[in-house]
Amino acid sequence: MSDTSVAPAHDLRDFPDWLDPALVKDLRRGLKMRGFTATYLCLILALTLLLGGAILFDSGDSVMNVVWFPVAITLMLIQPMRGTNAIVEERKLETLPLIQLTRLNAFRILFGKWMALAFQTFLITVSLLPYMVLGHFLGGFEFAQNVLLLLLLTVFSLVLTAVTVALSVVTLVVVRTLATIGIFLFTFQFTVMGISGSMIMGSSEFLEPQTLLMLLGVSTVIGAFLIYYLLSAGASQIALPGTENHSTRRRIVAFIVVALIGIVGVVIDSFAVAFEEAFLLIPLFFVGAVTAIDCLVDPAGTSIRTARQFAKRLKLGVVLAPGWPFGWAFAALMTVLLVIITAVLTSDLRAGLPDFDDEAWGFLLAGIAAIFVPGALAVLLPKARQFPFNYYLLALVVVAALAALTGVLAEISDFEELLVLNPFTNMALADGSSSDTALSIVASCIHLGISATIFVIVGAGFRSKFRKQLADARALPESEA
Amino acid sequence: MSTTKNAIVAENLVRSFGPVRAVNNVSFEVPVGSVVGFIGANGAGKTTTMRMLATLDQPDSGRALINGYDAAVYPDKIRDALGWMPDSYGAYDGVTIVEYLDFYARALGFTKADRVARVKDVMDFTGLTPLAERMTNKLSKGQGQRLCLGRALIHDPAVMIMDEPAAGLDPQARVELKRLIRLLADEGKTIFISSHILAELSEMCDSMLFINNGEIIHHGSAESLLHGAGAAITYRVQIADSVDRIAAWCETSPGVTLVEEIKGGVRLALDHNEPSDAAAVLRRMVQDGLPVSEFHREARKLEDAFIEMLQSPAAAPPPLPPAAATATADV
Repeated sequence: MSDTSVAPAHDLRDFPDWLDPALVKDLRRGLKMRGFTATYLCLILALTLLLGGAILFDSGDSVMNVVWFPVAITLMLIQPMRGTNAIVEERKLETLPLIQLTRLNAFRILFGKWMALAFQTFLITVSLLPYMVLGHFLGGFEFAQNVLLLLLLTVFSLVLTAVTVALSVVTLVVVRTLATIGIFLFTFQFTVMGISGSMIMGSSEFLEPQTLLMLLGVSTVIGAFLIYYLLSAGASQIALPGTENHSTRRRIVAFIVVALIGIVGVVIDSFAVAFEEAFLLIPLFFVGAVTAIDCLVDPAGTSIRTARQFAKRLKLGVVLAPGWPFGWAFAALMTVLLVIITAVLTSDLRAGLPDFDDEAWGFLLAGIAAIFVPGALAVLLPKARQFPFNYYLLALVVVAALAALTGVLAEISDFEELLVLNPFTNMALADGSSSDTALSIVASCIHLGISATIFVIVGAGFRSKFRKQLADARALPESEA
Repeated sequence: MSTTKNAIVAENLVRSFGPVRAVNNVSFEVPVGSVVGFIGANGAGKTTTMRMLATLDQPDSGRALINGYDAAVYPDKIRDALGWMPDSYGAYDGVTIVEYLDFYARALGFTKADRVARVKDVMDFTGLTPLAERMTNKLSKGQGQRLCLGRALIHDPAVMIMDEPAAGLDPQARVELKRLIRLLADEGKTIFISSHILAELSEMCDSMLFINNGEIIHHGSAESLLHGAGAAITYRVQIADSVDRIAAWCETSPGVTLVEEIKGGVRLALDHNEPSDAAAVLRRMVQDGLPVSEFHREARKLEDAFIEMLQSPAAAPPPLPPAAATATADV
C-alpha cells in the first residue's frame, strides 16, 4: 500500500487499548452528541438552583427532598431509555454483521453499549456527590442517607440500562415499544414517584440508613447478576447462528447464584440471625423466573462448533446446551432446586419468616406454570421454533387475556373450578379454601406436565441434530483444533 | 479439508428460508490469487451464498471452506483471513472516518502503534487521508464505499468477499473502485465479487460464476460465455422503406430468421455465420429490390449471452450429483 500521505491528525491514543472497542466508539460518540451533554447540564443547573435556594433561604431538608426528583428522572428514566436504541441503530445501519466479523462477540458488543451508558451514569453520580457534601455542611442535610440513596438509584439505573440495552435486540418494533413503555411506567411508578415521593413526605422507614445499606448490598449483588444475565441473554439473540454460545455460561452462573442464595440462607439460619425474609426469597424467585424465561426463549440451533465444546469439556451437561430444546430441561431442574431451597429456608430458617403454607406453595407452583405454559404454546408454532422470544411474549399476552375471560366465565357460571384451566387464574384459586388449593396444585402439575411433553416432542428434531453434531465433532481430528 | 490451492470452496451448499430454497446445491472453487465475479439477478442467491462463505449464515447442508477451514467449525480462523465488503458501509452519527477505522482496528485486536499504522495504511490506500476528520454520515456514496473497503482491509485479509460493492456508484467512483480492486488483486489477494451488472465485472475478473434461482449455471471467463455453444449471431439491417417489406422477405428466405423488428429495420439471425454467408444474404436482399441502407454484424453483448443462457432449457437442470456440479474455473 502507498505511503505518500500524512498521518491522521486525530490522536488515536485518546483511549487506552484495554478499553472495550465498542465502549471507545460509543464514548467518543456519546461525549460528542447533544443527548448526554444536554441532560448533564440541565441536571447540574437544576441542582445548583435548588441547593443555592435552599442555602440562601434556609429551607433545608424540604428542598433537598425535591432535589431527588430531577436526579431520579435522570438516573431512572433518561439514562436507561438511551439504551433502547443500542442494537436497533446497528441493525438499521447494517453495521452489526461488520462488527460480528471482528473479534468482538455478541456479549462484548452489548457490554460495550452498556458500559458507554454506565460510564455516563457514573459521571452523573460522581458530579452529584459535591452537592451532597455542600448540602450536608451548608444546609444540614442527612449525608449518609442521601449518598446511600444516590448509590442505590445508580445501581437501579445500571440494571435498567442493561434491561433496555438487552431489549434493543428485539426485532419486532411492537414488542420493543410495549416493553419499553412497560419499563417506563414501572420505573416511574415505583422508583421516581416512590423515592422522590418518600423523600418529600419524609416519613418512610425504608429510608433509614441501615435499611438502605442492606438494600444497597443486595441490589448490588443481584444487580450485577442481572446486568450480566440480561446482556448475555441479549447476546444469544443477536449472536451469529451456531458460532457463539453464551447460554451455557449464563446457565452455570444462574445455578451458582441460586445455590449461593440457598447457602446464605442456611448459614443465616445456623447463626439464628434476625433477617428480613424478603432479602432472600424475593431475589431467589426473581433469579429463578428470569432464568426460566430465558431458557424457554433461548434461540434454538446448534452447530458442530458448539458440539465440539460439549464433546470435549461438557460431557455431563447437555441441559447446558444452547437453545430452548435443552434450556427447558435446565429451567425445570432450576425450578426443582428453587422449590427445594424455598422448602429448606421456610421450614428451618428461624428468622421470623412467615409460614410458607399450602396456599403459598399453590401460588408458587401456579406461578411457575404461568412461566412454562406460554413457552410451550410458543414452540407449537413452527415459525417460532428458531427464535421464540417474540412468540413467547405473544403467548404470554394471549394466556393473560384468556385468564380474564376464564375469570368472567367462572364468575358468571358460579363454577370456580374453571379457574384451573389457566395458570394465571389458577394462582387466584390457590388462595382459596384448602380443597381449592389442592385442586390448584394438581392443576399446576398437569400444566407443567403438558408443557414438558410439548417441549420433549417439539424439541426432538433439534436434539437429534445435536447428537449427530456431537458425533461429527468427536470425529474431527484433534490437530484441527 | 480442501487443499489450499483454492482460497474459497463451496461444497453442495443448500440454504432455505421457509419454503423458498435460496441456494440449491451450489458448488464451486475459487483459486488462490484469482478475481472471480459472481453474477446473478437480484434474488438469485448471491448474497445468501456469500453470507455463508463469510460465516454470517449457516448452510442447511453442505460446506463452505475458506483457506481450507470449514466455516461451521472454525469461523474465527475464517474471520481472521477474510475481508467482507457489503454494498453499504453504515455511517454513524458523530464518528469521523479515522475514528470509524480505529474502532474496527481495535475490534480486530490491533494495539498501540500497530493500530495507528493499520488505520494510516488503509486511509492512504483508499485515498481517505485528506478526509480523515470528516463525519462518516457526510460522505458521498463513492467515499463511503472506499471507507467500506478500507474497513474490510484493516486486518490485511488474504481473501476478500465483496457483495455488490459498485451498486449505486457514479461512473468516476466505479472506475476508482475497479482500480483499487485491481491493485488488491496485484497484491495477490483472492477476490470474490458479486454484481448483477455483467460489464462491470467482465473487465476485472479472471473468471465468472453465474447463479440463477439458487443454482450455479455457468462458471468460466466472459469470453467463454460470449462464444458458448449455440450462441446466436445477429445482423442489424436498416432499409429506406417499410419495415414490413423486409419482415415479409425474411419469411420467404431460407437460412434467415427474423429476430425482431426495430425502428427502420430488423435484426436477423442466419443459419450459417461465415462471412460469405452474410455476403450472400446481403446480395439477395439487393437483388430482390430491398433498399438496404445499413447491414452489419452485431457485437454480442454479455448481457444478451447471459439472458440467452437463462432462457435456455439447460439453465434450470435438475440438481447434479456433487462431482458433476463442481465447476472448474476456466482460467
